[in-house]
Amino acid sequence: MSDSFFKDFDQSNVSDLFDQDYGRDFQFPLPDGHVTPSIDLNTFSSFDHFNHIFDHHDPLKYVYKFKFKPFHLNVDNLHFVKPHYVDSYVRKDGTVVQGYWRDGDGDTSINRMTEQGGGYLRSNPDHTTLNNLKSNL
Amino acid sequence: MNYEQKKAELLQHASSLLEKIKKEMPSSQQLEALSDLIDDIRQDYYTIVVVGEFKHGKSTFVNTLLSENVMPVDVTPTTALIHAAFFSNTPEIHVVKRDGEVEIKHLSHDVLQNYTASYHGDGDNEIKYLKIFLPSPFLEKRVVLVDTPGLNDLNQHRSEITHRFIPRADVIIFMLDMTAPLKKSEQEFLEKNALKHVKDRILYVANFMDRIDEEEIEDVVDLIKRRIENITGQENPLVFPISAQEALEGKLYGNEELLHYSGMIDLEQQIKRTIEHGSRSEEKLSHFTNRLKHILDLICAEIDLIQQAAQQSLDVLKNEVQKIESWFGQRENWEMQIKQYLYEREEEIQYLVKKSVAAFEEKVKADIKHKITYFHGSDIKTFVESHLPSVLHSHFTNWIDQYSDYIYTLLHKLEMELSKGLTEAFKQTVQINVPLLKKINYEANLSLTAVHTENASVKAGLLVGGASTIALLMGASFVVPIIGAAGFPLIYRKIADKQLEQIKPELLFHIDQSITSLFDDFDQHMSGFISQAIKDIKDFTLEEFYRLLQYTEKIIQEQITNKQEATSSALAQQDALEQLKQEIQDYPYHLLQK
Repeated sequence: MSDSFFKDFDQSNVSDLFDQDYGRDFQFPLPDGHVTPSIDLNTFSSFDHFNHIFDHHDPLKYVYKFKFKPFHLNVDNLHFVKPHYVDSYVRKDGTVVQGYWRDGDGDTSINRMTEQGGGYLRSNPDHTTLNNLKSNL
Repeated sequence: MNYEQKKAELLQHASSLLEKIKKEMPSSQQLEALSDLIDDIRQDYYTIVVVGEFKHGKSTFVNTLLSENVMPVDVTPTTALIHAAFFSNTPEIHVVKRDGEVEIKHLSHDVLQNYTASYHGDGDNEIKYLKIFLPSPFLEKRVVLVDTPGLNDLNQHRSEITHRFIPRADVIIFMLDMTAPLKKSEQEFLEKNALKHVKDRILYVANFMDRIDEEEIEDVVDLIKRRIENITGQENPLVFPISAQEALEGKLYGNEELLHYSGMIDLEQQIKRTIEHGSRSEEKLSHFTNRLKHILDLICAEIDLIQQAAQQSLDVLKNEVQKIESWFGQRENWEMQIKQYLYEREEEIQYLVKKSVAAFEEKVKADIKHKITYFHGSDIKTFVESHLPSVLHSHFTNWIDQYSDYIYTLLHKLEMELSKGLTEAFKQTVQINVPLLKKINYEANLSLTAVHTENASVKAGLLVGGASTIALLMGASFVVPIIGAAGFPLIYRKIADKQLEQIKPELLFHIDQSITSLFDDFDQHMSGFISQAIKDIKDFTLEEFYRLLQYTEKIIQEQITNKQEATSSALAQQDALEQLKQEIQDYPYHLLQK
């Protein structure tokens, strides 16, 4: 290796890196705002029983077989509306609205299917309009 | 190519790509990661750790490497501190304390001697290590030389040395005494698990060659080799007979002949070879290359995303932006769900660990009870003071070596499950195929597994540790109480005037108590460690995911602008990106890795 490789870095840098690598203490104060569950081995029995691992005397030995419950993110305050046809109707004031293809783009002259990017997200009804998504429909 | 050449090659490739990516993809999410990697490659340094028992001439040997009489020799008590030597034109000593304070002094033999003599390694003192700065040619090319306290001293530094310094060392020098090679304590040290993976980085140095007859040297070296082979299973270990004293004199007084016969020249050449071709350098290189490959994979996925977005119609793109926006709007909602999910999983992990620790405690107590019950020796003081603590210590070390793998497996599975769930939910709502998601989900989970070998990766926080992080829980605050446990002094007083059999019940009682409190402490440390790791997983996953959302939105916005303005430069950009992708994919990465 040519010496030019080293010239950008003075040696004090090595000393700092060394502190970074070896000088840190490994202490684990509980993280801020993190609630650690308190576990009592004698009374705790609320786990799902598909995982027999919990019954083992020394359960960690069996973690290779262990499966966590899958994480399903419930985005049900939102739902996806597939593009669909809206039949023509008459408003209260008497104007006639022609039937159109509702696909979420706000432009009734272009009709798109889901594969073409049609469709849109709406908020679920929850008796408050404060959290509703704005739409350009 | 040797290590340095390969490293330079890798550095050049990474730097040239960085420039191109900056130009063609200025908003790439990977720019920071790539420049971090380049920094880490450039900041690479080499650690040489000297271990061995007291009175084997470690300090003289270190002085010889440094070509300077700096470390105190022949002081009683011998050095019980970790010393690290660095290159500097300004000779100084930095006393690094546990509370983070650093005291700076001018380097002199007397000052060092003073520290060595006043330090007793009794566990309550506050020095972490001494850093020595001096203009030694040996240290010039980013080499750090670490001198450790004697192995036969069961002090708080011991687990630091075994779990922190040794696994990361480029070269480990194991000092032996030619006149009494491989005693039981040395054998025990070599049998440790932590040394299994680094065997080929150990150079065995048989000191005091000047104290035995010349015609015997070869036989003694053979004997040492055979013993090492038996203990470690390592074929043809490298054993170097030297006289550190003669080598030092040779260097200090310019006596070439003395230096030549001291065996030191061969050894110094081997140190250099091990740095350049040893398994540690391979490990580092392979780690750097993998990190680079991973970053470049993500960059290629970013290019795919840009290319895909470019093919979509304006309306489709506008619609996608709106969907991503709605994800941002839902942030509070999904963060809450993640928190809830992780809390339940943490309960499970904490339970599993607690239960296994309880099983371990039972086993340890039974073993110690057995040892005390069947002890019939006469030296009960040594039995209590050194044998039992050593038994406890190896119980813990073995448990941690084995079980930290299990714990990391759990944490890794959790991380995968979380990121899989997020990805699926995102895919359900956003229709454009985001190739990055797949990468993040199945390949990007480097945090727990792949980053742990690298020095610079400590930056990444706790997720880097593996066995060593958990083992270090047993560091200063933990190993010492085994020895100085509250009940012991009481017992010593009685040992003097009582018969062994009368003491046994009392001994059993006190030791059982101190093991119980030891395990309480251990339990608490483990629980804190797991909480911290789970919090890190949460923060890491959320950050990655959020960044991905932002980036996807940005790319789509850019394409919307491109389409609205229908610029010709957009076409040129597509070409440049295609070229960049080819360059990334065509590079012969395998040449840098074994």
